[in-house]
Amino acid sequence: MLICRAAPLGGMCTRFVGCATQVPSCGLKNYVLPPSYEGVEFPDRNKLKFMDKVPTYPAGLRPPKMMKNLIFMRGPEPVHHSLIHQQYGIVALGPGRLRSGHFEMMRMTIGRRLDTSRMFAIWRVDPPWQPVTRKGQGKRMGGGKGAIDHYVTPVKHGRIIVELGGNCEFKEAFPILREVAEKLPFKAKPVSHQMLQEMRQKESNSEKYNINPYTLEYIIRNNLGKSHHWISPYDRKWFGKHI
Amino acid sequence: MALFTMSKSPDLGSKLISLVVQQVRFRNRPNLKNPLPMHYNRKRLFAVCEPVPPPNKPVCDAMLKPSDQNSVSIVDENPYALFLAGKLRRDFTKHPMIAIFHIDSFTGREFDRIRLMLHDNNFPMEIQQRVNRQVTAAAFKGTKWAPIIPLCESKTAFGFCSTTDVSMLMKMLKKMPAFILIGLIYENRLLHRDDVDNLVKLSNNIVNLHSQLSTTLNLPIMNLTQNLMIGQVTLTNSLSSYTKSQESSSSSSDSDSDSSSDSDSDTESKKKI
Repeated sequence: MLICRAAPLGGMCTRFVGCATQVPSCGLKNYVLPPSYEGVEFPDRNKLKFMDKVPTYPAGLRPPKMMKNLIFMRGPEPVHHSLIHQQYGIVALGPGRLRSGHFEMMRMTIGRRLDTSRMFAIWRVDPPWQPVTRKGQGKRMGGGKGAIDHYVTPVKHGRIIVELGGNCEFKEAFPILREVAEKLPFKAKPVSHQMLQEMRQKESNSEKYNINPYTLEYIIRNNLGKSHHWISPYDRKWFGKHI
Repeated sequence: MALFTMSKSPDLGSKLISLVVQQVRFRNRPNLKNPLPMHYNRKRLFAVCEPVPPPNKPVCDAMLKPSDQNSVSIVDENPYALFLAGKLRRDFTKHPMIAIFHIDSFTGREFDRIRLMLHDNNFPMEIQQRVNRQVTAAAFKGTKWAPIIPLCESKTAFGFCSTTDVSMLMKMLKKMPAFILIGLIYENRLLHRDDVDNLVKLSNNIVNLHSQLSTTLNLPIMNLTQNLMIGQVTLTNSLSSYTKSQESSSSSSDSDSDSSSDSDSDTESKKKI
């Protein structure tokens, strides 16, 4: 049974073969118009730029060592938690540190799969700046702080790592971003602007329409169940949402 | 962190102060990648404080509204719908038998098998799957086929047949379980499913009755022709026998005078041979 698909009416004409024929099903087809990409601003360079492994210091300045400062990773991201171009990106769902190897991986993977004629990608994190020291293998304790081994970028929960945009749909950007997100050292997820808004809305709705009178915030603020004996100082700030 | 608790010992009959030392519940430096599992108190607190959604919150508003309010009028917006309605009306006038099916779910492969089966059995039926409700209403509103419109509420298909062989249709339908017959239009009459069964029985008997009637009507004529033939044959036979007898009697009187000449002529002819 042959149906002529080249017809202008989208398959209305039929060819009779033998005694049985097929009339096109589903009386009407609703063809979705392609999306318009008005207002998409392309940056100067479409591909991700190279991120230095080591930050540059003024001449004569010894690279300073730093404390571990896990606070840079703890808690929610207060500033860089939304997409600038309102298209697609990777959002961190947990705390972590990005090293130069991760930056290279992201840059090469995205650069390889990007169609530079109509897509672009930008960094939303700083290059590695926090020094991480390490003592030599087998060295005994003492003798001062170890030497700087490498530099990292701390990332908090909700931080946007990379943004991808241009004249493309999420269906096209998703596999590129997923390939990168799965290799990051923390939980991450490719999202679109709409998805991000829906996630935030869902979180706020679950709080707004919650009929449970007991919330962590209420219990911790009022020291119910002697919770102050065992909660951490960060529970007083974030009420159990973040470690 | 130390915790002091008061306990009442039934044996001593007096309150005892016991010193219970509990371990630190949190460390100064947590492992952010692989955090420690929560201790009992914390876990219990988290379980109690889980958000509970309100019970009467509607999950899907679309299911609460009537379907007509949800749907957009395709006929008003799209002129192609009117074209399809006209085509449907023409198909109804063109075909002598139209089956109306409710269709269950089936795969493309099953439908291919159905079409092959129809082709192999030489049954000419065009199946139009999933008839559009609004297009049907636009086609048949105000006409004699208006009662069909409620049949197209759910998933409905039309089977346009070029023949009126209802028994063959029922045979084919036995091998098409996904197609459930809900009505039949037979020679411009809309029939119920029960009427279709009666029609099948009737159609089988009608052919036999027709043949019987034709034989009974033909019977006296056949007898008459047979008798006429017999009479004709007997007459011709008797006439021929009469003429032969007459001839033979006349020839016997002439035979004596001609017998000698005949015998000489016979002997000469024999000598020549």
